[in-house]
Order: sequence, then structure tokens, then C-alpha cells
Amino acid sequence: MTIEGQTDRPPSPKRLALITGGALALATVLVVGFVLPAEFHADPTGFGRATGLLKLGTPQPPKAEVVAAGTTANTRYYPTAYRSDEVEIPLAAGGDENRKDELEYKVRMKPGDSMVYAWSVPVPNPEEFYYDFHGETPAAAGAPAKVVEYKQSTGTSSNGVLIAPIPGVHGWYLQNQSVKPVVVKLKMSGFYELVPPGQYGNEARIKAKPVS
Amino acid sequence: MTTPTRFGIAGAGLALMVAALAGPAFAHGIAGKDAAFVAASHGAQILPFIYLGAKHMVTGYDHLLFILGVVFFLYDLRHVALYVTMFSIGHSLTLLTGVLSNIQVNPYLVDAVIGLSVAYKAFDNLGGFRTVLGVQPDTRVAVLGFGLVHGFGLATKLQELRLSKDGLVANMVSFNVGVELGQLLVLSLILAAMVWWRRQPGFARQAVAANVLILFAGFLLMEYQLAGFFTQARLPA
Repeated sequence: MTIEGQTDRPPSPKRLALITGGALALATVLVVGFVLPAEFHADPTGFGRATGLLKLGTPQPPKAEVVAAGTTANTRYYPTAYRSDEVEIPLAAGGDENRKDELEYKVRMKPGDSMVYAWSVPVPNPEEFYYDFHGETPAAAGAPAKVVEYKQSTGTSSNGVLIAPIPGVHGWYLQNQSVKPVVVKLKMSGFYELVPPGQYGNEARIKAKPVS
Repeated sequence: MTTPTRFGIAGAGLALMVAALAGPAFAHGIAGKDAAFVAASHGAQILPFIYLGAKHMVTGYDHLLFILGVVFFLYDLRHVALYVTMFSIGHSLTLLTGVLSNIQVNPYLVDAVIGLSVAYKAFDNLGGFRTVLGVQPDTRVAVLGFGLVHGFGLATKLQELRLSKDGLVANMVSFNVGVELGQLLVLSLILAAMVWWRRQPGFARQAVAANVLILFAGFLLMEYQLAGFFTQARLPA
């Protein structure tokens, strides 16, 4: 069965060679001169750079899409300087006669100020270390003190961020219940002020080491 | 009629036919929201996948040119049906087995072979094989072979979209049915245009010029994809 359909006027061999060669050559010229620089960022002839075609083939970073405007829920701006501190807080063994096994360490913050922190203590049993993370506005003339509880728990480490809800001092009551003296290592960064040793919030006279 | 005029008429006719059918898409990826749809699909989505298959066929320049080349000198509808069946068997086989057995072929290479198929058929239409080799290769075998390659290309592209296992076979079959429907749609439009064209005076001469242009377009498509194949490593994924 012959069902092939070709032209009944086939070009002569010489003409066919010319047609095929010409088509192949023209396609090559277009691909090398135009397609390579414009589509694939390759420019073997320099024609793409000279004509600007190469710019078409330069990969562009994807454009971002704005899905929402920033709000105070996720962005805050502060006039105060950013700071970072490392603090070592020694605690005596649990049941210490002079009650050196517990203390409070806090920093001063205005409402909306934020502080990122991480602390840990090398107590083997997490049940034997207690902390109470809270903030308070000291009592003033005619007004009682205000306290906001953040977290009361046992455990040997905590990482987080605090955005102060009230003015005053914010930080931790720490209590060692293990049989050995320990040192709590606390790191803080953000927008807060240290409480000078001896003043309200740092009666234990802990000295922080600013990190530059 | 002068040679430039002949090329002009043939070229305008080809361009009209391709432009009317092809829309803005180039070659045959599955892109944008269609890709998002495929990736998000779970379970059988019969009609959407039929639509995607048909769209893929109707908007691919390379397929349009290949179909045009195949039917260019076929005057008997039974012959048209035979070739289309060979092509369909070829790409159905590899599309289904490719996806089901996770075979992936470099899409640039597959598209380069599809471009080559366009040039092959145009060269064949010009009587090139008989002129050069003295024998006429069996076009049915060639069409079946190119159909197989096409199916692999499709299978690779569908797998890149991470098809859900859920409803995979139903969706694959739907897609393939869509490819056939799209092919029939394109084919009927091309045949209608060809029937009209053949009745015009000077068709025989314009036909040679048209196949020279198809030959050129096939080489262009092939080299375009080869350029992609040899440079793709330089582009960020």
C-alpha cells in the first residue's frame, strides 16, 4: 500500500541541498544570534551584548508580593538604643540558710518595649529549678503595685520574647531546689534598661555584662 | 508567479493558520495556574484534565506544524485517519507508561526531537528522501516513532508537576483523551484550510514554498531546544 503524499514537483537534488542547507543555516544564525542571548543568557558572538538582547536573558529575581501591611502586631520601632547583655546569676544550694537559693532579677521597660532572651541553668533534674516570669509596676502614692504574670514553671531553660504590657520592671524570680549551688546564664537583647544594683528589681546586686 | 510572491503567499497562509490556532503559547509546557491546578489536584478530575490535554495540543506550535506537515499532501481522509491513529498510539503508549513507571527524559531533548520531526516531514514532503536516498521511508513508522517521543516529553512534564497518586490513572487517561480531542480539533481546522488552499490556482508551487518554510521552522524549533539543552546548566533552577 502506498499512501505517502509528497509534492509532485520535487526540487532537483542541487536545489534541495540549497533549500535544506539554507534553512539550517538561517535557523542557526537566528538561534546563535538571537535566541541564545535573549532566552538562555549565552552570547558566543557578542551580538547579544552589543544589541541589548543579552539583557532579556539575564535571570531576574522573582518579584515579591505584598500580602499585608505591617502592624504593631508584628513591627515596632524604638527611639531608644538597642542593647545586649549577658548576665550570670549565682544561686546557693536549695534550702540555703540565708535564702541565697532564690532571688529576683528584672530589667526596666516601658509599655511596648521588647526584649529577646534566653537563659539556662545546669541543674540535672528540671523539676528542681523553679522560675516565675512576671512584670510589675511598683506601688506609688495612693495606688497599689500592679503585677502581670507571664509564666510560672519548673525547668532549666527558657527562650522567648517579651513585649512589656505595663511600665516598670520585668524579669524572673529564680529558685534553686537542687543540692548544689548553680549559676544561671541569661542573655538579653532589645529595648530595655538595666536596673542598677541595689535598686528595686535588682536587690541582689547582680552585675550584667554588656555585649557590644 | 515570481518566487518571492510564491513564498509570500505560502508564508502568509501558514502564518494565518498557525496564529489562528496557536494563541500566544510557545512550544508545549504546562505553566502558570494550570501547573498550580495539577499540583493541587487530588482524586480524579476528569474534565479539567481533558481540557488541559486539549489545550496542550491546540496551543503548541510544534504539534501544529507537525500535523500540518503530515496532512499537507494527504488527499484521502482514510490516510489522514491512519496517520493520526499511528501518532496517537505512539504518544498514548509513552505518556501512560512514562508516568506510571516514573521515566523522565530531558524535556529540551524531547522538544528538539519534536522540532526535528517537523523538519523531517517537510523534507519528506519535498520528496527529499526519494531524491537523496532513492527510497521512500515508511511515513507511518516515522509518525509512530515521533508519537512515542512526544508521549515521553509529555510524561516528563507531567511528572515535574508532582502529580497526586490519588486518581493518577484516571487523570492520565483523561489528559490523553484531551490530547486526542485537541488533535482532532486542530486537524479538522487544518484540513478545512488545506482543502480550500488546494483548490486555489498555483497551489502546487506554493506548496513547495510552504514546505520550505515548514522545514526552516522545524530546524528553528529544534535548534532552539538544543540551545536550551546545552545552556540550561548555567541557569538557576
